[in-house]
Amino acid sequence: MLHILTKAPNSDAAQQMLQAVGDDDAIVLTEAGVQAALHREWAGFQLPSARIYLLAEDVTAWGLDEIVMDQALTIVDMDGFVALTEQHVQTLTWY
Amino acid sequence: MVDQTQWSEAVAELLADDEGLTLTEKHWEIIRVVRDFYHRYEMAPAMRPLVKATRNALGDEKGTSIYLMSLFPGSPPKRIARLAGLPKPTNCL
Amino acid sequence: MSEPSGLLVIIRHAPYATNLLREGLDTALVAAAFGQSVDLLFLGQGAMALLDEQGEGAPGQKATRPTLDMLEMYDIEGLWTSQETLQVLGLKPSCLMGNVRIVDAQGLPDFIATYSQVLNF
Repeated sequence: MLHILTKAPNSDAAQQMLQAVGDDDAIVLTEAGVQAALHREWAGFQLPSARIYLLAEDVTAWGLDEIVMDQALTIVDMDGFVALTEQHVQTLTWY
Repeated sequence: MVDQTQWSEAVAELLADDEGLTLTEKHWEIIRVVRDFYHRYEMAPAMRPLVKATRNALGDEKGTSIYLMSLFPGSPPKRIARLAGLPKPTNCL
Repeated sequence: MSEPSGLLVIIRHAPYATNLLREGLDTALVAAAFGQSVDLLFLGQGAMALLDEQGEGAPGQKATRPTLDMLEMYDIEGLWTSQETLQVLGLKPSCLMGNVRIVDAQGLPDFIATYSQVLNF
């Protein structure tokens, strides 16, 4: 399952997503979701095996490029995002 | 129908006549099932729940889509809702 | 584990706040009307729709309860919420409609994985 989070890390949507993320799942942070870069302590980053990607376009739009680099977070561009949705049987958007 | 309170059995007869359908007691018992359903759930039933509601109210023999189709050819849920003076079922495509 | 099957509709928004609860229920009803097997999972604010003692809708708004009662006529019998949701909302299971089942804490990923299709509202 690929989870897409479009809301900030302290939102209800984010909390509900974290309940639903399984071991083989990946997460893409888009729109307000990229704010998670400001919260390295966010529970999503503590998940044992979760792969978390931040959408490059939104990181730039929110002015978080430098922070994302400093934190060594993984970004993905639009093509990479599309490829991720193709790799997973199901996509679930949390908005 | 714009105002559901204006519905009466005579109105249903007129609507049916308009569609070339003559209402018998067999039709009426189904129309009553649909009106009861609407009264309870505030929505007219699509085919699947209509079959189930008919089965619950009138038994296995009548609670089949074939039986309902024979009384109300075409789309039973839509036709019955119209005759019963109810909005057409929203989840009935 | 058996093959995933059926549709799970997740409802996360409260009654009256937005149209999303109704849209989720309508989607479930349409899928069931076409013969699909459907369950509903209420998370977060969505679980407020499950309170046993909810009243009628505000003027001009459809109440949720009659539609929830109707689900059974569409053979939608699985109404679920999660342990975490009840904790966050401060709800006891006894406040909920009698036919609601509860997914254990930490059980959601496995629960969701049993469905072949999942839609989020």
